[in-house]
Amino acid sequence: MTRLIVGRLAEALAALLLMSLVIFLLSRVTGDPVALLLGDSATVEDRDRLIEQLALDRSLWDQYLTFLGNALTGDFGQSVAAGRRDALDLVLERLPASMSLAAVALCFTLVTGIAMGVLAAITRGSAVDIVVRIVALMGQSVPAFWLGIVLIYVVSVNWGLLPTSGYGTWQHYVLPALTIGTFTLAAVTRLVRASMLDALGSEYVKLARIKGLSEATVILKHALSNSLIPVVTFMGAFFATMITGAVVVETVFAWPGIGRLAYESIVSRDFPVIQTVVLVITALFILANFCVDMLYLAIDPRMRDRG
Amino acid sequence: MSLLSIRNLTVRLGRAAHAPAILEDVSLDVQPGETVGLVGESGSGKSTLGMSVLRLTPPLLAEGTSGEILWNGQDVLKMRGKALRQLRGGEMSMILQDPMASLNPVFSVGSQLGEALKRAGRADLQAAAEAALAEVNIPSPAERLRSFPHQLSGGMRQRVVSAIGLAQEPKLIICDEPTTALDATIQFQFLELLRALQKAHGMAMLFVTHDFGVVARICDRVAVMYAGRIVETGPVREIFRNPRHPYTRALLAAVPSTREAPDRLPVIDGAPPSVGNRPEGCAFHPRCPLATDRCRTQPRMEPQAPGHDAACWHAKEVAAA
Ligand SMILES: Nc1ncnc2c1ncn2[C@@H]1O[C@H](COP(=O)(O)OP(=O)(O)O)[C@@H](O)[C@H]1O
Ligand code: SF4
Ligand SMILES: [Mg+2]
Repeated sequence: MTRLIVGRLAEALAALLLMSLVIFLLSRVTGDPVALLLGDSATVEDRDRLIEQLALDRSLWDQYLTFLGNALTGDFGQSVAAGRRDALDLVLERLPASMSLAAVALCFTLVTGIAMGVLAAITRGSAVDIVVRIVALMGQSVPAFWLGIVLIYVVSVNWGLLPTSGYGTWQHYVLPALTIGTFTLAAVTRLVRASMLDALGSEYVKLARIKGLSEATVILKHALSNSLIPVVTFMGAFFATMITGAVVVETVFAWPGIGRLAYESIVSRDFPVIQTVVLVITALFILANFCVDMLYLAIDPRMRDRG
Repeated sequence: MSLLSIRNLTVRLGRAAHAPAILEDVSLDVQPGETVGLVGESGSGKSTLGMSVLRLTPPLLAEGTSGEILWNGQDVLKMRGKALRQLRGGEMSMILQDPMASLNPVFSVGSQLGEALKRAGRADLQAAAEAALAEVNIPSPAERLRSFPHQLSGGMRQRVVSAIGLAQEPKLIICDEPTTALDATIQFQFLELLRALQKAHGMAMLFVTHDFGVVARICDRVAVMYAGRIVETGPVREIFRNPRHPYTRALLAAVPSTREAPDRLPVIDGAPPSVGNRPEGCAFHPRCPLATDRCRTQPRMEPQAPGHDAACWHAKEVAAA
């Protein structure tokens, strides 16, 4: 098992390294790196300093090592648009807003999705089951930006219940979290319903009943524990939609996170910031997948004996 | 009074009166301490019968269930919630057909066995669990308690499932073909083990099998099922010596090891009809060498000898053949 964990860690590091190489090559191979990294208002001194700093007069390999070395010390260059501010600082400043929104959306999605999936499975064929299935189907077909706009229009503008946009109080979280979470909520619901139905028809659930265990123990312990395995597997894909969704949702709701930062820096062609955002998102994504793997090991004993 | 008395049990695929039936008008009694064999080809409804007794059939079948299942005079089919839970485990238990799938893959052996022992009110769970595994001849039980199902062989899993089934010392255990998934030598060992445990605990056993050889080894009485009905029932020696239903004879003839088995009838050709495609009258008539026009109506169970009933229009001729 230790070998497995070490292996996964090594994979994660390799992925991160590979991503740094891709980002490096993007900034060097596509066009003039000096122009990309400095923007229009740079002076000749700025140019010379950057050429020296990034070893642009040396081989590509040397340049990559320098880039990597700088990155490891937290130096991702300066923002072109936001008054020469340190790119990493800019990104890190925005991180808490994104992470807290993601955490809220994640909890909402998992708790509601699992509850609805279980409910639909144990009431299979009933009105409750049918309603849950229709809602889930709709949730999976609605585009996030459209849902966000409709929610703002109905809930905030027409009913005046929640703020239209911004960040600060818990009320600000509701609509963005709903918008980000709806697609995956629907997916989790359908996944849990299907795997719960499998589990409820299984022999091990029969054995649990034969023992005389209460229906709550049978459903919530014996059936649900197995039904969560596919949900864990699905979490990797979940994070991907969460990140891509963040760019749209943070822009729609003026949420001061890294998704909005990515959008802003692309619009203002602030390459050092774009580059840093991409690397940080990659690192987060790899970290999330690593956590999913560990969760998998925790929940499924069969996985622990592999490798 | 019988320990278990199944009266006119019918199980259909759903509530509708014309829904196809898996079991039709099945009646069967089990006395305390007795071993009853339930024999029939695959698809005859043996597992459905066993699961109905413990109310384990899926919702569709549960809706289509009628008749009575009396346990000490109480109708199991009318039990709900707590009464049903008290019946399960402590009074009646079951060893399911598939040992590979019967254990929950995400919990350890100790956890799954412990749940049963805890319900039985055992104080020292660790000691009780080790003893329970030792009783089914599992070596180094303390270590095995920490194992997960996928780490065990098929024979080992079957033993664990049996230990769980027996943990609450039930008065009746239903064993659904507990040996088919095991290879021959382990099968034999396991049967001996079950027999020893049954004697030790003084429990009754309903033993489902498609193998008359196994019946000869462990059962007191036997019920033969065909296409969802019990077609013959009686003491094992009597049935072996004097079978009155052509299907029983054919099954006996297929057993190589039984000396008493008459072998004048050929082994039956063809396959049993599937649920919903059962022929009118005696469902066996398309395969029966003695079938006549009369067999197109359903024969009833008639006494052949004390404790020996069969449902065949030509039972007397079978005896003479
Ligand atoms: N849930 C179900 N839905 C539809 N058919 C079923 C169901 N359960 C059992 N059957 C059918 O009922 C018949 C009897 O099955 P079973 O009780 O498992 O027989 P056996 O144990 O004797 O092999 C089989 O033909 C099977 O296909
Ligand atoms: S009733 Fe007729 S068809 Fe059925 S077993 Fe007897 S002889 Fe054969
Ligand atoms: Mg069966």
